[in-house]
Amino acid sequence: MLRALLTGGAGIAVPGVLSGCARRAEVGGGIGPATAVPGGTVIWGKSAEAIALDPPKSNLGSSWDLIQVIYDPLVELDDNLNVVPALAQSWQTPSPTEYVFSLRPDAVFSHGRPLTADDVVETFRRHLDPENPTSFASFIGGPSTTVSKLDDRTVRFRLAAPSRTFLSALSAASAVILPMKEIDAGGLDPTTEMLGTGPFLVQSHEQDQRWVLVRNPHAWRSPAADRLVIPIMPDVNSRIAALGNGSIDIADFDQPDAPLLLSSIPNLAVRVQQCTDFFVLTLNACGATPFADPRVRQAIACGIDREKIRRVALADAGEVTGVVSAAFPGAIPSSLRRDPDRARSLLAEAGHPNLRFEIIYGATAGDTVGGAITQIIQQSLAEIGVTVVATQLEEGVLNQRAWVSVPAQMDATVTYYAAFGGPLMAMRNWSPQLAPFAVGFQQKDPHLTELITQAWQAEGGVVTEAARRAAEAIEQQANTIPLVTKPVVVAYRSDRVTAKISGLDGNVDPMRHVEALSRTHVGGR
Amino acid sequence: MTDSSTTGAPAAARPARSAPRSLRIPFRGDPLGWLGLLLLVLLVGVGILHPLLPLGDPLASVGPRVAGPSARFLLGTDELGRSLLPRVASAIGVTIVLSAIAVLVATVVGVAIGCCAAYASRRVDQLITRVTDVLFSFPTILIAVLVSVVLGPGRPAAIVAIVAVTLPTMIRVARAEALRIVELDFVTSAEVAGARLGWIVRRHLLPNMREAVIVQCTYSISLGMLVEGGISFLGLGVQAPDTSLGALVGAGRLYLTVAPSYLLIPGFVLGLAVLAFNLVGDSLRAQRREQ
Amino acid sequence: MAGEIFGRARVTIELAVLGGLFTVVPGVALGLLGGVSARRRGSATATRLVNVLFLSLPEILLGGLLVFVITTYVVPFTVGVWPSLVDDPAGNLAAAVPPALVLSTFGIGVVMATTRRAVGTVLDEPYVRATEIRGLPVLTTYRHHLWRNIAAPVLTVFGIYLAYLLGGAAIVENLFALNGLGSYLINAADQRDYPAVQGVVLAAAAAFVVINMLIDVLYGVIDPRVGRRGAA
Repeated sequence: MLRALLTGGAGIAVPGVLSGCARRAEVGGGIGPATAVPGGTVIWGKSAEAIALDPPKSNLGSSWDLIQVIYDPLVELDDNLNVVPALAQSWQTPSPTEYVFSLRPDAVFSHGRPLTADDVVETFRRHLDPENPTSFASFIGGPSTTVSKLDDRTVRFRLAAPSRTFLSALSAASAVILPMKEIDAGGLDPTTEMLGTGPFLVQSHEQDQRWVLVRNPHAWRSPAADRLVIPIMPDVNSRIAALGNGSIDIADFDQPDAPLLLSSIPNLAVRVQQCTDFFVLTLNACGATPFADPRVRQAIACGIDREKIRRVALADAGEVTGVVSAAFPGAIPSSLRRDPDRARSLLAEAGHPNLRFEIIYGATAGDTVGGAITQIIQQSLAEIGVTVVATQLEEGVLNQRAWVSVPAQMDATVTYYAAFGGPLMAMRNWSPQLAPFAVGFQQKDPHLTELITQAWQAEGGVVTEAARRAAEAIEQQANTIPLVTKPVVVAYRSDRVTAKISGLDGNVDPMRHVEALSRTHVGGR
Repeated sequence: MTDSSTTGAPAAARPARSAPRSLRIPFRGDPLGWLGLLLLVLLVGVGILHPLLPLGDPLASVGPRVAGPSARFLLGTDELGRSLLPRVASAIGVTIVLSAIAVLVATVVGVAIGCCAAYASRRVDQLITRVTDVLFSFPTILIAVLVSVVLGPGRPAAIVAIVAVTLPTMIRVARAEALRIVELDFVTSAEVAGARLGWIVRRHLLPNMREAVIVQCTYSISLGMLVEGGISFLGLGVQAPDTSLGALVGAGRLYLTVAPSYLLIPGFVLGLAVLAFNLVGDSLRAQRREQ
Repeated sequence: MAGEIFGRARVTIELAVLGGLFTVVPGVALGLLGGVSARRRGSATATRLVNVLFLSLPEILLGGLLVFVITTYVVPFTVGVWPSLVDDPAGNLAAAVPPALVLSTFGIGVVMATTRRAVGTVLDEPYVRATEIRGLPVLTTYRHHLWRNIAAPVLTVFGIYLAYLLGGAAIVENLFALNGLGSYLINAADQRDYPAVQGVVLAAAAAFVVINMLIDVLYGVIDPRVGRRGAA
């Protein structure tokens, strides 16, 4: 009786009453031809506030997307992740360890001063400071790399060894060029003010409310729109409602379900953007946990059903990945396979037949993917007799326990790694020597670091023998287990704006073609 | 906010006796009471016995994602392809049990404070009354948010929030009842006879308060379920993969336009559960007033 | 932060005022109707059922239902926008009425119950019964008496409810994607932004004090004899 009441009562009664009303999705369709109109304001509902504004120190994807609207790097990625010119109009490699960049003559900061080679040199000196190198520095060879000015528009980098990550790393948000003359003179604080060569400049900002950007009059790549207003809308339902009622024009979503959720809104273009970033299950091999034993870690790696994670938690939107993100063309396929029998025997061998551990994961207002992945892991590990306690933590607490404490105060966590524009860049996260944030949970393994360094230095195509060896060793170590890629969804009102959305991204840059964002005029006339 | 303290006044007129009337036949001839009791037994039964019923595994991803009701999944599936039928069933249990535990705590504490207020000096009584008044009218959700900010989200936060919300009314009811009973002849004569306070409380006060307190309990449990629903909906209460009716509604919120049943069904069941307790409470109160 | 709170308070205050209106008018009307008709057993049962239904309807269910209807069907209401009341009154009401309705249901139940009880008390007075037995129209004869007896308890309950609305709009603002104080509070709690949580709590406490003062003044207007607050 209860069932009949529930299914019948709640589900059918309402549509019955409203059968006289038209459905919104059927109204408003069939727009005329759309033509781009220059000028005007475009509104981007951004999913998270940008709070780490100083590019070299910024480690948050939610800040990188805004940084890349205001600043430009020397080079950038095209839609196939190839490196193409940006502030550097061309470059030469006289030797495998030497890069010479010629700067664009028309690159001007938004306050009117032209970009010089000094800005570039000083920007990278900040990264490569031998006393205090930034986390980014390891991608470009670390403090042993030197950068010097050849003339006002030419800059030379000298590396100690060849690097396969160098050029793509220069496209990252951390590597954008700052107005170092003003910063060194003390007139500009890059942690609170943004002054770049990008298409827009910041007119005003209310924390957690909105950014108002206006056209940079000196931009070498002038935007179509006059203003870009960026309300901060952490609540996914708010962004969906705002797209529906037209109070915003474009929005980004972390939810792989976004295309489904947005399907009822007419005149909406929804693009799934594949990203090189990928989710991982990080096991803490440094603290007093069972994961100090490699057999237990391998058992977990064999027990996880990554295909199910892709299918269920990612709603089929991403891909199962290895250490080299599956988003890269020609990536190295993962060697990990689900094998419950092997997992059980490994656990028995290690003396943990009834292992029980906790996975902590973060939860920002709308992002439910980490929780979904954790719950699928919980399900598949239950099949090999492992009990997983899933605990959702507020970001600050999670940060402290997982990434700051040494050793980390956790058994395991589900998070995602930025993989940037170069296939091998993310590999450094498996070496605490190369990626200091990993020192609290990642086993120190000089041999593995050596393999990663060799892969970074080896010449050849994407899949060199050295890269393959490193990837295999990393997956055998099973300290941090790669799971699935992390797609992003960008949706815009096609009746109000035109936008160019890249299908593949490496730098957490959903608005890579922000200069092409423009209002449209719909219909004849 | 459901305040039944005013029922003390008419009841005070009834003849004094030390053995309380029992609640054996709760709602003679009151269809609403019986309806409430039926719903209550049904929901509590499902909520507690669901592991024994052939409903399916609430934690296994077995079906398509976010699907509406079908022959195979009677209430549809959630975003991880888990059947909502067993999830709703276990959520009923969590919601009712959480609320009941919290109300039990609120009752013990509330009756203790209420009796103290009735026996204490006028100044202490006034202080208790004033603090209760302020707490009583403080916004429910605000209390819940404060508690979950201090404790972190989770079951304990939900329980503490429900206690905080239901305690003031319980204190009021207990105090009003205690004041009424203390004035009754047999208590006065017991006092005159030199009976100890503890004996009077055990022998006279508590048995005579029982009915009023039970009526208030049913209201408090229904209010508690609404509070739990609200804070778990907002993500401050019960955390995944554990679930409650409010948490299910909160998860379904995202999929409202694609699978409305995901939000509406647990919401409807929550409404039924609240209705069940309210009907029983209302019937008990109506019967008390008639006598 | 103060500016933030004031900016968002506009939404919440309007919701509370509208919700208060939607609470008190139907609540008192239903309560009067119920109190008077309580003499007959059948209608007494119906009244109790209606009252209990109002007290049992979860905000998250009614709100979810309304949001679903508004986003799916073409109805003259909106979700997620909040046009200025001055510039676009119609648009503002289209946005404000559904959440205000959701806010008011529980309050209708509370006000209705209070009114019913007050009416019942008056009608049980011996002199009222005597009038009734003589066949005179009770309601018109004791109209003023009735109003005075209803006004005080309803005012008390309503004051409490208004304070609750100011702080308790969180669920409704979340459901209807509105940027009010409630959603600000929830976001702040999510991010452990203690100063913001404190700010909202302070604002709600201030509103609570002001409302209670106003109510105390109104008591004096209703019944000059009342020097202090009567019991609810």
